[in-house]
Amino acid sequence: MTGLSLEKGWWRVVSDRTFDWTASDVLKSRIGRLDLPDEGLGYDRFGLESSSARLSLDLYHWLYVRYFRTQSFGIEHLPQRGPYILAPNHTGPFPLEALMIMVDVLLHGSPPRLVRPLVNRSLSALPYVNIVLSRTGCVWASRSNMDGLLNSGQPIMLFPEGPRALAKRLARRHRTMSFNPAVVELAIKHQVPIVPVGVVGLSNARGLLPYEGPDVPQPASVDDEILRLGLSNIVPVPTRVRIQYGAPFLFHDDSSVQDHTPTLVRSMTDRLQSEVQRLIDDLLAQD
Amino acid sequence: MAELESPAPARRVLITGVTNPLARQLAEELLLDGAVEFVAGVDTVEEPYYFRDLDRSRFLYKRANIYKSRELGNLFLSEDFRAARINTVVHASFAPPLTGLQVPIATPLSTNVQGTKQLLERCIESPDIRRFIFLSSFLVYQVRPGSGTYLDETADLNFDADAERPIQDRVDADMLCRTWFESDKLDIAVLRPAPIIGRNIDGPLNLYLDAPFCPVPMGFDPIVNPIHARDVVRALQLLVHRDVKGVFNVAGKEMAPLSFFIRMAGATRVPIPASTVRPSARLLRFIRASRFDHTFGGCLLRYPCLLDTRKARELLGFEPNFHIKF
Repeated sequence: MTGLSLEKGWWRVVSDRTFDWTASDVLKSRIGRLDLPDEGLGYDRFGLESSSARLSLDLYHWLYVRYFRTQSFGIEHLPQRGPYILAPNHTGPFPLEALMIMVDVLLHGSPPRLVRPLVNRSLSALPYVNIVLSRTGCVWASRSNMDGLLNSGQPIMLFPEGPRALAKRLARRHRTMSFNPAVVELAIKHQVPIVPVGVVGLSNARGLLPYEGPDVPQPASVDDEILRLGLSNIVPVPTRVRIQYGAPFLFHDDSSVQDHTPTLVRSMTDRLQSEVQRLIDDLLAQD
Repeated sequence: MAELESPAPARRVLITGVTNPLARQLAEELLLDGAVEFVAGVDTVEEPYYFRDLDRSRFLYKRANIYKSRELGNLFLSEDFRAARINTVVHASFAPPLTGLQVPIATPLSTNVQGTKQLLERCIESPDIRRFIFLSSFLVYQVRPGSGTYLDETADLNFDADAERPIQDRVDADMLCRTWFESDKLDIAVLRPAPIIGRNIDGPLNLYLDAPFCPVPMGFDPIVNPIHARDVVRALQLLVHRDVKGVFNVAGKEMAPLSFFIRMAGATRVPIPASTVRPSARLLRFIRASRFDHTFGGCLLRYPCLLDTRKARELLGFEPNFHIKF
């Protein structure tokens, strides 16, 4: 007998009813097969709350199907069980790729799984934003969190380009920036596969971010680009999004990886980046 | 013929700060424990009434301030203490208490560290004492935006120079114990429990939830994982009996947002701008509506501080048994 009961606050009641009313049967059946982590009171240790997660997936599902009309290829490359790391590219200032990939893996993965996106931890200091992100499945990107997620068998999504890639100029939206080798180090440490993912189609929402990466050529005039893009600076336009999964990078039986040196890790990171770039180029070639 | 293993020596335990609720519960549990031969308790006050009925052949109370070198020396040299042949020390005293209205402003809080150091040295010099257990706290961990939700025993400690003095003292005492980990003379274990909930417990979360109004910073609702006081006592009991060394995190069964526990405690959650939480907590203390001191538990109100308890589970065999009740 528990001293605490799972008393439903008003938010859970509202979100459960909204989900029941708006979600499609397909989504309900896929989510029903999910094993949402729960430490006993409806929350997991990273803040995921089942009702909020379901409602947010319902919203993302609408964006996925109706707004962005997402297509995906190569989902069969995803491991069916155990933890793995998804390594997609950023295409623009709003990391909507994470949402589209979450829904894609939920809808088309076999079995359906909830991929946990790792989010810049500076966002945890923002009021309300930190609650929304953590309740809907996002996790702050810190080493211990990544270790905890992979040790508990959950797949994670990590953007190797880092947050600076959110400020890619429009002309370079389909070029990957240099990948952080920490992704490969993490995969080697936990002996989990990395699945490279290429995403195109979300770069038309530019946002108003002033930051420029060091390897990005400066435009003649930042104001010109903002004026040209208009409202799409703030509201992502409904372009078709395409996702391509590549063959996973495996470390289980590679003995050379066990004694990994920085040089080896760097070369593997470059291979990963090349593979993601190849996936992006293949998607663009379909146009 | 297989050699018989020599039985583990019966424990004869000294508990410092024995009149505080947690240590008192530990003393009572150890006296019920058949594998514990003798329990000695030491604290700065007169022997309380609830110890007077205990079996004197198995329990000894000594009044001494272990943070004063002379009194500590006298304690170890006293006849009845030497006759007790203590072989295990549980250091559960860290004067003054971390929270409460009685915290004197002028207390030289570094006596905690100095006193812990002196106690450790006495234990090492003693020919009988083989085991030292230090009751630390989750407050030693560095909690900041985006700090790991999984705080294992190797997570960063709070070495911030701007941290409050009592927290610095806790960290220093914790580190002191760790410097002696490799000693062959003494097995040292450090227990770091999550926020403790229980009757009369002066832990920050317990005091916070005890108040009728709980000011919270707007836009924050961190996940907390409190532990019941009886589970902490069980963890200490396990450390008394098991020959393990090192740092161990322990936490409770339930994990939920702070708002959930506020609701369960029957308090009113009052969201206010983050910059006004500390003055509000101070005002509530001033008007005696709360005993929560934001200094020692303020981090709980904004960012999660969840402990990874795998090591305690695997090496100590600890699993939380008790649910949080209000």
